[in-house]
Amino acid sequence: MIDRSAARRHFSRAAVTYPGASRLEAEIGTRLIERLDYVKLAPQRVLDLGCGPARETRALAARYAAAQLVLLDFALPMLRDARPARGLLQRLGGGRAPLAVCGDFEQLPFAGASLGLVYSNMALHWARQPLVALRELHRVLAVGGLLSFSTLGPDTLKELRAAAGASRVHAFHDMHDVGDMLLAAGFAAPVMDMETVSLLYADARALLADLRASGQTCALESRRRSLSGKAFAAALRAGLERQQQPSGLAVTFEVVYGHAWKAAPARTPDGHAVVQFRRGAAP
Amino acid sequence: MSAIDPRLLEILVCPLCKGPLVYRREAGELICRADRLAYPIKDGIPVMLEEDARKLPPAEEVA
Ligand SMILES: [Zn+2]
Repeated sequence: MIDRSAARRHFSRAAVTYPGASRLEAEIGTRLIERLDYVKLAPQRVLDLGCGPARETRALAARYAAAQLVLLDFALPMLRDARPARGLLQRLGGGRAPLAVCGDFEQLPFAGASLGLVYSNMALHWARQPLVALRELHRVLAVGGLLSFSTLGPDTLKELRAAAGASRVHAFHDMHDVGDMLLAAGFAAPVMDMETVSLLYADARALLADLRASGQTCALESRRRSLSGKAFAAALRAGLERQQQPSGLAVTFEVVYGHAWKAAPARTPDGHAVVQFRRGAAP
Repeated sequence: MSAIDPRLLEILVCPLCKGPLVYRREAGELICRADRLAYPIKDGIPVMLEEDARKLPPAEEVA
């Protein structure tokens, strides 16, 4: 389990250095947006959930020019840093600047059925209770709305797990578990797939510095148990150095992609539609 | 610097009870009457987190 307040502090601290250290997130974001090519959708509002430094804001705004973009992150400094990008979009987009909200995946501050598309790149693995977050996403999506996301799978940072011990690295959810959670949250026809990406670091020091700079040291858990202690740091570095190749230290990231729809309410066996009365803004 | 974009007010609700919010322009806050919480607006960004919200004292009226 992630210590969420620690994660929030980490991401808040990392806001300044984040863009330089987030090449993987940027690359996966590009791939995730490309996947939207295959989807016919004209949403009125698009939510970028866990937008971080709002890397994909321009691409999303270009793709859904008629939509109002809403950015949500739980680190306020990230959203403050996203302001220049938002200002640029306002000038380009004739006043339709993206709207920024600081909030929690598991307690979304949006009215039911108020969004047509939720896009989330490399963020959902930070949810403490993914099923709760997915239920919230199902609630805020309008019928016919799409959740499109990438997240990290269990092989992520396996080199770090081998060096630090499995209990000290965040346990990422398996693609099939995420698919089951989507169904449990009420989503229809979830489509899941994954790919393995290997990043080459010069050495253990470079990897740890990159994780720190991108705010992801919270992937390392139980800091109460002296994780930052000197002995542990030395053991961690030694464990990573044992995996070092002449070309460098290859580190695995398992990237999981998911797409799922909010379907119309089901019909009862005798053919009557289930009528739901919803309150809230138009999608 | 605590004004909020009116387009956000169309979709924002209390993250806890999902009920409506009262916008207090002068205080730069969004208030949930049911939970008696005031969510701050910082640099135009509403901070919709219980841990950052101000608890309304019993005497404070919510107009
Ligand atoms: Zn409330």
